[in-house]
Amino acid sequence: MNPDLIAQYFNAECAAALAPLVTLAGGLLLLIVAEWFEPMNRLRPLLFVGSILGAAWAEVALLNAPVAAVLGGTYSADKASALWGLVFLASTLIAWVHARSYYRKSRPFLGEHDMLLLTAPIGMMMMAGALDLTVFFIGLELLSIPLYCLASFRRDRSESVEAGLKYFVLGAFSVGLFLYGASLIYAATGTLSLTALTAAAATGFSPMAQVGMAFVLGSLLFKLSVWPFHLWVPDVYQGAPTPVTILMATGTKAAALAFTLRITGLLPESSAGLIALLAVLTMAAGNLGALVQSNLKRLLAYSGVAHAGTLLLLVAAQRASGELSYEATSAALFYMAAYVATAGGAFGLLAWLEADGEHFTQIESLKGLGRRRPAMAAAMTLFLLSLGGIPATGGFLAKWMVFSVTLDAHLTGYAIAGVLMSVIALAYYLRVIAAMYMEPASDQVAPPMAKRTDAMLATAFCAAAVLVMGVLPSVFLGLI
Amino acid sequence: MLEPYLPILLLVGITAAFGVVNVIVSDLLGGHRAVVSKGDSYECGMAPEGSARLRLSIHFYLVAVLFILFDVESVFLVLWAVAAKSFTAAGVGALVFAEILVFVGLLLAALVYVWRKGGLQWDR
Repeated sequence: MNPDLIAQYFNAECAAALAPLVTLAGGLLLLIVAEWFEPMNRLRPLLFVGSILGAAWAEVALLNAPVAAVLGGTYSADKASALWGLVFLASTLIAWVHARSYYRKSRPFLGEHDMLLLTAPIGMMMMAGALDLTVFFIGLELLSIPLYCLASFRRDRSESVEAGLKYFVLGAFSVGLFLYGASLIYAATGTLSLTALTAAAATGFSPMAQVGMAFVLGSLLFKLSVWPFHLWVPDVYQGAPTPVTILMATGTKAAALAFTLRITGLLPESSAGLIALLAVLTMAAGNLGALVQSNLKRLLAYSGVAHAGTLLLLVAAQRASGELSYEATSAALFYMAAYVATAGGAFGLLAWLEADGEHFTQIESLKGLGRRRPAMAAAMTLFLLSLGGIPATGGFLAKWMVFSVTLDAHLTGYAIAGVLMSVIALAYYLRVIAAMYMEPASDQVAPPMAKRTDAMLATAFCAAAVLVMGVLPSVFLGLI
Repeated sequence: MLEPYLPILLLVGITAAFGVVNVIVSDLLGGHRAVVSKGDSYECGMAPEGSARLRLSIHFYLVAVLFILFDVESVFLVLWAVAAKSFTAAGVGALVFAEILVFVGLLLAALVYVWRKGGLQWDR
């Protein structure tokens, strides 16, 4: 151990690369300190937003001066990971703002809620930047364990506890799958570094390493909620508190996608068709499941499965075309940015409705919302149209980019199937819009909704982002 | 080649025979009288009483988890203490000492948090 060796690992580049993670961890520590004495609790919003903004600032700094690989080549803070980091931070912030009006002020452990919520993006960033399977694993656990707790945060509701338990059991299973796969890879190749593994994959993996890769991919597909690993999604998304669902639906998916795109080079070339087939089956499972739902939260969960299918098409396209292409990365980033704004906005509105009573997330009780709450119905319509991929919204361009990348990779049949699936998806989105505008109000009268400035601001922000991404995409594409 | 392992094989054989022969012999020589109390569950000679499904206080888990947390973390301190002199010899003693102070500070913050939240209070 000598100073030179330490300097080799912990230098200015390393400080810049880890700045977002350290900022969030520091904010987390201050949140714990703020729980020491009752009056300090009031600092909580300041600390939370402050650490998110600080981390975002560090990510923007990285965007201007990207760092390739630090800490002995185990963590990368390139442009793509910095942008992924911004996506995660936006998702966390939206979830947190909605959580502020979602829980009653008297609910115990709200400070712990914020701590857990702030831990999740640290894990997501580690997942997106990992160049080593161990680093990815630690990131995965840092993300998953807070989410298990948060999913069951409403302990007084059996659905919430059930969601937490289901997510925990299945999540633990998928983590076990990952570790088993990683250990097989290590046994076969003697390394866990992605750089070394990519070099080994170029000369061909042994069967043991291939089995290991299959396990690793399986656990990633679980987090991405891809068929046949999607069965937990509707129950967990519905049972978890809605602000937590925002984070699960957008942030987790983005983190898993970022890493999946990074390791496509380790998959055998012939797997592109299989992944594309899984993508189409996932879209089918999501869309057909969503068609028969009567609860909007469940419907959006199934729609999330369908979106995961579209994203998986991107993974297949990248595997088919070989190396990590600029187009695939930018399509994935744009798609997830649009999805964070859209799904974040839609689930956020649901959190708003749900705070008045569980049954207000039924499509039945949305009838007549267009007359009762015109602004809210308009925002919901915008989000649903963007989820369906209607032009002039961010969702349209995102889908268009994904399908054009798929076509470039000569997966024509799968791209056509994907477009057809999007048409089916419109059926259930339009059904909700029709209920809001064209059907008379049901006899369940909604209570007058409390004015919630936080939730209103977050919704307005999401709506604006969806529109800007649809009309002026160059604002976002210029960043990539 | 496998000759050195012959004693182990013999030992396995003798052990297995000891168990099997004892069971058979006691079955052949022992009496077979069915008594009601023989069908009872064995509870150190006492009649079983009450339900086995007792509800334990949550405090046990809390204290156990807290103990594990701080116990595992203190292992790092031992490692540092063992290597402290060689760190100083390599000229990074102050840096590593500062790192350990930060680490202890983190533990302290968490401990104060647990204490303030009443995690160390037994009779609540």
